[in-house]
Amino acid sequence: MQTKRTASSARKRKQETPDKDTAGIGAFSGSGVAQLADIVTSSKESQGGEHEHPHVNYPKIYKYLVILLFISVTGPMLGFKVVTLITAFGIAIVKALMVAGFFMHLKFERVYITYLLLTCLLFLFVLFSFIAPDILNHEGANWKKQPDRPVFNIPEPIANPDDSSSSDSAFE
Amino acid sequence: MSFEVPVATRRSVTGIPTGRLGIWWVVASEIVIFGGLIVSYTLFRLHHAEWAHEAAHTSVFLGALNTLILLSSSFSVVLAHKSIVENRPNDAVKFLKWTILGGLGFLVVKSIEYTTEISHGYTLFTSVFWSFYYIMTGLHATHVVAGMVAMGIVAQDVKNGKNLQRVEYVGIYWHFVDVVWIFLFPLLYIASGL
Repeated sequence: MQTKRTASSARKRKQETPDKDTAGIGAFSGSGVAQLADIVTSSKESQGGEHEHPHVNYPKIYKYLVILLFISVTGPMLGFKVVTLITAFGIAIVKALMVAGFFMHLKFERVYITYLLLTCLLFLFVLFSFIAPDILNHEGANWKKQPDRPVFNIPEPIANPDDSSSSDSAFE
Repeated sequence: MSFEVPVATRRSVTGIPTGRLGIWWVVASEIVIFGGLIVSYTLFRLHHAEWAHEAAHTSVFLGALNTLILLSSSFSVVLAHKSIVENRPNDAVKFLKWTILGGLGFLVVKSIEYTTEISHGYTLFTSVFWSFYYIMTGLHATHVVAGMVAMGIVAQDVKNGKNLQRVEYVGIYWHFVDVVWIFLFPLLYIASGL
C-alpha cells in the first residue's frame, strides 16, 4: 500500500518537474563533461519512494576520478603556471562536480538542494569580495598598508644529528 | 526490514525525506565552515607569494595517496548505497566497512605526514601558512573521524535491518568530506609552483 502511494507520488513529482533531469545534464554539458552523459542510462526507476535513482555507472565515474587525480598531480610538474592552475584547480572543480553530481546524486536531486548549496557558495563569494580589496591592495586613496610584521618567531628546522645532508623539504 | 520510510517523515513542501533534507542542510552549513577557511587562506595566499616555498615542504605523494584513498572510500560508500537500493544489506555492511577502513587509512597517512612535518620544526605556530595547514587539515580529519563513527553506527543498524535509508545519508556526508579534500589537496600541496 505504502509502496504504491510512494511510487505514485514519485510519478506525480516527475510530471510536475519534467525537465529537472535534463536541466542537470545541461549544466554538466556546459562544464565540459558532456561525454559523461553516457554513464547515466536513460532507464530510471523509483526506489523505495525516496527519489528516482538512475543507473549510474559508478566504476566508470571512479575510473575517471582516478585519471583526473593523476593528471592533477603530473600537470604541475611541467612547471608552467597556467598548466598548474588548470590541472590543479580546474580539475579539482571537475572532480568535485563529478562526486557531487554522480556520487551524491545532486544531479538527480530536487533543485531545491542545488539552490540551497548555491546560496552558501554565494555567501562565500560575498565574503571574498568584501575582504579582498582590503587584503590584496597595498594602498588606497587615504591609506597605505604598513609592512607586514612577523606574526610568529619562525624557528629553524630541527636538525637531525645523524643526517649530514641539509634538506629543505620535510619529506626528502 | 524495509527501505521505505514512513510518509509522515517526508517534508511536504520540498518532497524530500526529512533525514536526507537534514543531511543536505548539514552539508550546506559545512560548506560555509570549510569555505570560510578556504576563502581566507586563498586571500592570504594571493597576498603572500612566499607561501609557495612553505607549501613546497608538504608531501605531494602522501597528499595524492590520501586523495586516492578518499576517492576509493567514496566509491565504496556509493556501492553500499546501491546495495541497499538493490536490497542487498549484507553487501552494504561490507562496503561500509571498507569505507571505514579507507577513513582509517587516510588518518594513518595524515598522522605520518604530521609526524614528519612536526619533527622538522613545522608546527601550528611556525608561520601563518602552517597555521592554516594544520587547522584546515585537522578540521577535515575530525570530520573523517566523525564520518567513520557515524558509518559504524549505520553499519550496525543495517546489520540489524534498521534504518536502511541512513546509508544514503551517511554517504552524502562522506562524499562531502571527499569534496573538501579535493580542494584542500591542490591548495596546500600542489600549488607550490604558483
